[in-house]
Amino acid sequence: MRRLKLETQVSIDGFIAGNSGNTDWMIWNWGPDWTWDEELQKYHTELTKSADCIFLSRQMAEEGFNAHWQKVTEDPLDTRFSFAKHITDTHKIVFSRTIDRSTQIPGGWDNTEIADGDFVDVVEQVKRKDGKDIIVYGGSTFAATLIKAGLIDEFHLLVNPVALGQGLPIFNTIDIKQNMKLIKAKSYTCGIVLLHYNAN
Amino acid sequence: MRKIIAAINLTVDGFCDHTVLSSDEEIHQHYTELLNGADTILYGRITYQLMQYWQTLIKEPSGEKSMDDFARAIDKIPKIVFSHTLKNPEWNSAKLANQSIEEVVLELKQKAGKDILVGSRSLIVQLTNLNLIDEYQLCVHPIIVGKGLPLFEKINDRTVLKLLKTEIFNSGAILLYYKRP
Repeated sequence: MRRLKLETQVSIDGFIAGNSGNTDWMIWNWGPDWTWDEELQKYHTELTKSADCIFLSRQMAEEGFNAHWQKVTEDPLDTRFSFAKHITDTHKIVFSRTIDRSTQIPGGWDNTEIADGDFVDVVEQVKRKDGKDIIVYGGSTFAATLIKAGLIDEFHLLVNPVALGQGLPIFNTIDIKQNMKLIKAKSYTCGIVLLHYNAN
Repeated sequence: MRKIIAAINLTVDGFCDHTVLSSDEEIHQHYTELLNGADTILYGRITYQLMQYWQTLIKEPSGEKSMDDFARAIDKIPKIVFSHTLKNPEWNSAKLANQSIEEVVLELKQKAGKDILVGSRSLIVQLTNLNLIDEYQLCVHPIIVGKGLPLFEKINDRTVLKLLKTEIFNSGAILLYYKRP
């Protein structure tokens, strides 16, 4: 069965953003320069290419996820080109009951559908279909919802060398503690540690 | 100069409750070596009282080598306890601090000796805020708990560290070594 993978940057204390959603503490701010830690960038690109479906929260769609990556594909010399091309070509599913295809989102609805049914049913249906894996990057509320429902199969956490004290959590909604299985841990030159866990 | 090392177990989501974090033989061995390589450990009252459990294993060894070794190491290392309420630490190798944590640490750092460990959440936070922790050894166990005691909740500002190295245990715990930049 296809696996649902969460890839996200976190602080040492497990937050995926600061209280206001700020990501200025991340070593890698997802900005245009992708040459600063090629090994990590390669991991990130390969992980994304292991998926042929991307789950997006409504917020990420409305904030311009599609438009952002479409713009990058306009320049084949951009270090993010290969990644961006994969993103724009990949099937995307936005989970929302409040928007439909008549809603304007930056970048439009190319390769993007809306799932407005019960999200657990939808995710389970998508997982049962043939295909490569599925990836989700956040945001915090959406990721927390998927984690609480036990739908994430793999966690790829990029741990930044920063403690925030407070911020947006993704694990705060679970009702019972969950053991995970460490599959891989690797530290990168930039100071980020990748922790890949599978859900038990 | 001797280092001030914050050594503590954490969940993946950043909590440090002793009740959800269990250590196996390999991790006990690791902590035994860490204790044997240091010459003082600093505790707040709550963690100290939890650690007093190990005194019972000195009197009655469990028969499990890694636990008994750890008990001997924690028994041997001099302990300084920070508490306003405790009158008597009831452990020969422990004494109550009669100065502030800042004064105690600054004084210890001036003296010659081996590294100094900090094993309590409250002290780690206070010393982080005073910028006095030289090294963090955070042992992240493969578990998420959702809620509990967040280690870094009360730090004043975001704390940027420098990754030194990592060490993986068979249980899936990973030890993250950071230093102050």
